[in-house]
Amino acid sequence: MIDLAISEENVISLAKSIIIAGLTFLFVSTFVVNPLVTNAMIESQILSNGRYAIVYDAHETIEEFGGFKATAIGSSIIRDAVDGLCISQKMDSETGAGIFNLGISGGNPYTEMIQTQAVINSKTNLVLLELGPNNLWQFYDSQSLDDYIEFRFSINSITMEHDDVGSWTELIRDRDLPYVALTDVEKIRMSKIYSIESIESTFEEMASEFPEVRPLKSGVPAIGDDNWLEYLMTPTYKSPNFELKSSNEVRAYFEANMPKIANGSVYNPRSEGTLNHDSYEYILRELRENGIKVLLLGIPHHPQVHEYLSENQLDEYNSTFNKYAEYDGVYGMNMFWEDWPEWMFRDRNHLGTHGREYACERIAKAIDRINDNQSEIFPVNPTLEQFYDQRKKCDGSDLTWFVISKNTIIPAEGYSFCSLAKDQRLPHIWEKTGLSTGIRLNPDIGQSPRNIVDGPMVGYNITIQKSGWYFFWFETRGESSSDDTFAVNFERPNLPETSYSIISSFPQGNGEWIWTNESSMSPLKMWVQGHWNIKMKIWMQEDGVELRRILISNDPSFIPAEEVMG
Amino acid sequence: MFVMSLVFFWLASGWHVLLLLFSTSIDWRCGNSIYASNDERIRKRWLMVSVITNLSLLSIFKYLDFFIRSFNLTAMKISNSPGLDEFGLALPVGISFYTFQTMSYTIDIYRRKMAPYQSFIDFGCYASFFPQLVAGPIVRADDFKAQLDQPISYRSANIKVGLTLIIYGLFKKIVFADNLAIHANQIFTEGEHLGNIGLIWWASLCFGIQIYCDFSAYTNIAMGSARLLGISLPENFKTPYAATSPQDFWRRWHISLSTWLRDYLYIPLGGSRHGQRVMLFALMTTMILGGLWHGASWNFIIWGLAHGLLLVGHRFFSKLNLTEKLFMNFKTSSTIISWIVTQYLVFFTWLIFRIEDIDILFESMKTFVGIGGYFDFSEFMLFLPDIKLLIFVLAIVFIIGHGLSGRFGGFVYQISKQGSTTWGLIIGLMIAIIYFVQPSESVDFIYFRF
Repeated sequence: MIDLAISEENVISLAKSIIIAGLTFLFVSTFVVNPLVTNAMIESQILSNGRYAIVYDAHETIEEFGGFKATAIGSSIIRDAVDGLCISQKMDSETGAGIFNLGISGGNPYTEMIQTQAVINSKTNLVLLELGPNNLWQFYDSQSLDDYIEFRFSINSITMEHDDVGSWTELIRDRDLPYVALTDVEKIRMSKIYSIESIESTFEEMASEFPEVRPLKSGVPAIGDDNWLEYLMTPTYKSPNFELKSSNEVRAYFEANMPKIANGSVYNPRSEGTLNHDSYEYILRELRENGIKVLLLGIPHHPQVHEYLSENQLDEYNSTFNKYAEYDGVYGMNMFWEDWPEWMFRDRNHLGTHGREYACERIAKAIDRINDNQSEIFPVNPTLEQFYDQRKKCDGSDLTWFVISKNTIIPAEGYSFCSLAKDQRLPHIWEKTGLSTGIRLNPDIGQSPRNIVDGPMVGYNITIQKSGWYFFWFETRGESSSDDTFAVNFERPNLPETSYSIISSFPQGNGEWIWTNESSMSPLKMWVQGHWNIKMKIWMQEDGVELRRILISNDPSFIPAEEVMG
Repeated sequence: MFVMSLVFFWLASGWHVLLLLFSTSIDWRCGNSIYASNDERIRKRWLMVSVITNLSLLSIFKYLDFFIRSFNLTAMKISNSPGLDEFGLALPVGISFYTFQTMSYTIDIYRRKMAPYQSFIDFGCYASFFPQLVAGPIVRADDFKAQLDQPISYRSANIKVGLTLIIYGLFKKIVFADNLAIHANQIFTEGEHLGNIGLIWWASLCFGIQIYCDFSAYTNIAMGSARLLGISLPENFKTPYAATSPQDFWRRWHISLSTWLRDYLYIPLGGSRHGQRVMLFALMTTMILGGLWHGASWNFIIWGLAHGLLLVGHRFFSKLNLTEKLFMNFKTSSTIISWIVTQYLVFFTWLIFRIEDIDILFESMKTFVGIGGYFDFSEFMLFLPDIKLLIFVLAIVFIIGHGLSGRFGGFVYQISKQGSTTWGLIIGLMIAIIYFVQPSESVDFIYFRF
């Protein structure tokens, strides 16, 4: 028998031992495991989307942000409608505003209510609160809904601080209380759910050969990273969906799905008495009492949705919206009933790139009006027509470029003339990149024109004074194989226009700037007879492609290189 | 304490508490009668009553259905005749342990090694002592009696040691055994890729660590619980995976059972003092019955047989002094080789212990020894569950810790003797690890089945 006798222990030292053990457990749980779990949830694939775990860290960042700040809260509809960076640039604010987007998939007033105290603590000036027909449903028995609530409450409980707990606790249903951690012990219990996966993820990170260059698995940057602030304003949006479908395919989608959806809770809102209404009342009361203004946002749904809704189906939504918008300190901007064109939508109820751009302009103007204490009724500003006009600005420099030396370089942004896309479904434009010299075909949503002449074009007036063969080089890049091509053709004096040559930067470039003259047929060259004034036209083939410089050489053996030409 | 133990047993095993009371009463009566008589025939008769009662209970509840199943299988093969119905009796919790314990009581009295307990309550405490009732260790009656005869003192030192043992046991069970079980179960129950040597070796290693951490954890918890009540239970393990021979292994593994088998089976059968044939018979019988004791299944019998063969093989092999001759000037090398060979064979036998499906067993055994196997690392990684690196780390930590624990005389002892601050830090950290590394699915103690 092994004797485990130890030196005499008295009650006091035993009590001390036990207390130290307890404190050690609490210390490890709070300061080691909890941060480990939080980081792993954000950075790894423990959660389907690390965004679920950033709410409270985001509010801390917002608190530290100087200048005017606004926080958007709601579901994925608000997430895909708000481009914080764009709004802050479009606003009149001179000090630099921060518009933060905390919209999240599946979010509803009840689940988002629990961040109210954190919003107040962040001292944000304005809350952009989603209020659509989809937010006013009566709670129903559903395993998936219960699972979602459990998931959101658990994650938020792990990441929230003590001072983020507010009187929202009184609204939590009894059945959901086990998922809300209000004490350290409960928080530790919640952390345990994800602890093993977090430890495994930490080991994976340690085992990774180059942890510093590993890709972001969850699409969410680590807290405090260089792009953290930018991500909080402009999150990663969903990739295009309807934008890539034909009109018939979109219509077929609605015919197949909308009859059922129209009868569901999303499009049958209540006017009062639901947990969501209670949550709205709570959020609005708390924010107003703390001097935070609220802008209620009704984001439009795809126009075909309205074809499946009966005339008065959304009356209760309207009455709720109008009621809340009349509260002091609350402003309502209901764009739901506006007739936004189909190409502004990604899917049934989410805005796409163009819709987001328009929403950006509208919300920016609205915030400016609120800051100026102007009328609470928001005019439609800019109107859709004004928005189209703005986008249709395409001003060339009217310059003529002279080829007088062996090698002549033309900066791509110095185009002489240009044209916009002819197809309304392709509202693309060659734009200056802003980040470096050059022009880029925006927006990059993975589209090509049906015909090259349907896409936008930039053109260059070029005068060549000597006969001979001239070789055309393009410094270009594409981030992927779907971003890499454009088409080139020439107008020549007394001759028909040349056919289109497709220039590609990928895969040689693979996201890097490269010089290329490889066209779809052969190296791009043209015979010039005497003194010629030509027009070189560069057409959209794939959006996202960038063009920095154009080089014209009469030396067939000349190959430009970055280090020489830079 | 007796009443507490009966309540514990009733909660764990229901009406089977009556069996325990019955067995306890019979052995109490037998022990007293043996002790009171000087007539050898009467003494023997009472001993037989005790042994037959205990073995009958064990046979009926643990082995009857197994024998019927085996009979039916044989009869079906011979005459295709309809078989006997099984009884489907539920196995009373801890029956293997308490029957061996109470049998040793009457045998020791018969051998005049000890006097009976003074009171039925005291004996009841011994027979049903709840901390070790379910899965041991098998306590000798005289050891327990000596402690009961002392006044029970609830000293702070006992509480500290008891808590250390319990937390250390939980640490081994939850952190190591339950986590590694996930990998072992995945490989052995799925029965796929059994030709992959990496998977079979890894599964065997995982199960070897699992069963040690599982069983020794229960022993630690039992010892700790008993210690809180002022009772010291015997140690059951001594870093078994540091053993350098099969004999050494059995001196370190399930010590209370191996010494019980030695004292009450191997030696009475002739032991090693009556020639090689008797020794062989005694050893093989002891090991086969030792295997059968673990469970009513052929794989346990084969496991016992395999260990019997290893012990016999080792006896003959060690007589040749081959390693000593080959490594005359390299004693360390000799020890390392002996250790590697011993552990290779021990982990090989764990396959027999773990795998009940005969097809999977033979396939795994062939692969383990390199017959027709292959190694495919990507298949290895793909087949394992999602949590991999943590389990690899745990296995490495166990191997290092196991070796260090043996070298430093046991971590439990080292932790127990620390001062308040260090003890608190270590125990607090262990509790945190237990809590946060606990797998989502709990795994029953393996030896609860026995």
